Amino acid sequence: MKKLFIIPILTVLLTGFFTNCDMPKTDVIVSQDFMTHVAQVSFVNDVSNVAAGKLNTDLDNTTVKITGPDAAKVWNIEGKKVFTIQGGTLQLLLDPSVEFITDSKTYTVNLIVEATGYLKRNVPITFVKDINNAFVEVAMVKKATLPAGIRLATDTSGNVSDLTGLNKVINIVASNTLTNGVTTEITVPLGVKMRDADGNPLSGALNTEVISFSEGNDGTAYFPGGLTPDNVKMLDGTTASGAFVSAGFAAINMTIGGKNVRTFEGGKVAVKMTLSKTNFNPETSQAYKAGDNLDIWSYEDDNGQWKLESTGKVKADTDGSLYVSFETSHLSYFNLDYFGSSSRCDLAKIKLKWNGATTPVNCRLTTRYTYYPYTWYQSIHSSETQIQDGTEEMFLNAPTNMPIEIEIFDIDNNRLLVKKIFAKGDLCKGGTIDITAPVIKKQLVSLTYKGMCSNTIIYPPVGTRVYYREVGGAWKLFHYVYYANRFDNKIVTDKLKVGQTYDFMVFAGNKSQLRTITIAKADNNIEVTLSDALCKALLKG
Amino acid sequence: MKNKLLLLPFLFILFTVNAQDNGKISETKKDQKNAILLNFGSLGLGLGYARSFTDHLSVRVQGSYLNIHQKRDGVKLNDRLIDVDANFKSMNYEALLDYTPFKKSSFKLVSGVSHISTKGSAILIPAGEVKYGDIVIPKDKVGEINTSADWAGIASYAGIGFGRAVPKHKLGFGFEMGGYFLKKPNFIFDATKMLTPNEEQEKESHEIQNWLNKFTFLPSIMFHINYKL
Repeated sequence: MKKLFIIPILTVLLTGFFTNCDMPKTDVIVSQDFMTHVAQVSFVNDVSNVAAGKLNTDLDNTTVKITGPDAAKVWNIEGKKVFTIQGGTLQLLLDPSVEFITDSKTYTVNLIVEATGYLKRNVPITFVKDINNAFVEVAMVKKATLPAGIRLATDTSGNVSDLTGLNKVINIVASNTLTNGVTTEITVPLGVKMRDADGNPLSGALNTEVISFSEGNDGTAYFPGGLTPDNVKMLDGTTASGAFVSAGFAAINMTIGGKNVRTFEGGKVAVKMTLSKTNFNPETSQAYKAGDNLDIWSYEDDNGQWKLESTGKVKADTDGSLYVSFETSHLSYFNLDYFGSSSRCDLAKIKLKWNGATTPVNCRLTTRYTYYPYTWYQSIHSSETQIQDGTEEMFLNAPTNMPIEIEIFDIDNNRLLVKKIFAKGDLCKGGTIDITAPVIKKQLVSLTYKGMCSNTIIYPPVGTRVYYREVGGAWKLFHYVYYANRFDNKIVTDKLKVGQTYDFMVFAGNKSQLRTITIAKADNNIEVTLSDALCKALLKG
Repeated sequence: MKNKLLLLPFLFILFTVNAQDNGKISETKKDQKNAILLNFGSLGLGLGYARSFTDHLSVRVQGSYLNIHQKRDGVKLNDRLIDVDANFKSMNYEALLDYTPFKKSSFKLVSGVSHISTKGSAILIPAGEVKYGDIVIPKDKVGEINTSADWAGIASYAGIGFGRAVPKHKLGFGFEMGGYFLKKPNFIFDATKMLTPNEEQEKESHEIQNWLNKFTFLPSIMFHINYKL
């Protein structure tokens, strides 16, 4: 935001008719109205806990890559090409020159996060015309503390030579049998030679890791690229968009001397994926059984593309468990999946009715595949949002190939608000969700705030987020600047208690400012002198 | 009260003209003289008609028009360059009474009423490239500020000057200075797109509006060339 003096009513001066010494030196404020499309990306660890305070600040200062054909059209919130996680969040801004020529036109980039101790993730971020502010949650797999249903197995005993290849057979099992989840076993044959992505031979000590993801519950929150991918490469070379229903997936990584192994020569790696006990075949609407077909997919980490490798056969093991086995000459994520080509709609809109909920409530909104009797589910999308009576939630690329459950959890009051199941395809028809949970009335507190940079009043740009916490508590979303409320400087909330002291953290771009405020009364005027860094972030242009 | 004061010059003219009609028509008829006049001054260029009733009193009906348009790119205001497209337009019609107290001098006192329509407007657009970080913001996303102040309605006028409305000879010249007593202006401040906060701020502060409200007196300088018919 920038200020400057103008001489108001220049024409008066031009005519020269008037003289007046008291002419006001009015500031002209330039807002960030061009920020019409902002993606709010939150990085979290364990998604199984729906309560707040999950932002993964361990990733702060990690620089992420933005790739894909539309990467040039995306900036950070400061209008720069440096993408750094701050406060567990990252905001992406669509270039203001971009036009949505048609309602269905979209712009997509791949967000690639690589951080020490975490599994690399590639997540598509899509900008659509009707969603000014997209909330995207990126669940990161922290190898040291894996959620239930995800298991890691490693091996460092192998050694690879240029001439003779691998010196021993390596067999690793990432087992989820304790949770009845998906178990992945790989066998790397003796003598196999290994090459990097450029085809160069690799030699030295081999580090191998296998991470096996169960398809049920929250495992698919970590699904590479999400369950509704675009640009999926089929066997005939064509590409398709659609929706996956997973039967389990695994990441297989090998490194030699810090370099990633990409391909094998002189042998193939055998992969055996044992299905979970609660697996579900969308084609038959029953559990998988021996003899069923199950497609095998691989994932190109760098460009975020799924590729159909082959169709596997479900076989029964000696203990009765079901598995699919295959061989591969390259490494990637591997996925056993039913893929419904075009089985989704671009945008589903659901209105929330909640009588009496006149102030925003922090909620977690989760969409899942499910099926009767609804004890099994598969996470499609989850993000934190604020809802009240009349809020319209939009679901990008809503699948149509399975019944979908929507769950809304009240983070502020730690309670489930509503679960609603939409029959196959019904979510795309729109509709309403009635929330009958009583509105918990709390004392309303108003904050009329004024952010100051020198003597300039700042209107926080679209995308500014304010988090709050009771001192020592977990951070929760307090206020978010939408396109519609960007000039409001009064927040009426029931989140704060009179007499209580809170920390407030304001994020604007990659800059943040912490301030501790005691709420002394119901109506509060707060004038905040912003830090130089924050002012610099705001006073661009 | 102000509206009533505005009526006074009218009543004065009517009374004077009416007085001529009621009794002295035969004596003054031969003294009645007419003139057309061309005027120019701070409110522009105009034409008028004048008629004298006595050696001391005459009436003028005149109009004037002014339209100034100025476009300047890259005007530096504070740290920012602004393109300014400004316009000032004035149109007024008036009936004035000239009172020339001295027979041997053309000094006069002038009073009257005017229907005045004066509007000053300006469109302000940040000049050149507007950047946010490394993003060049397209011009059509930036928006503009439209301001205008509009004084429209009946205004009373008072002034002094030299030169008879109907000259003694065929051609005469005149000069007068005075001013119009105006109502408060109708003020519009409209900002679009990225400049919208300015509109919000003005709505809150009324700073410019209050400043403009002080301008209820419009000074005027006028020259006229009169041709006796």
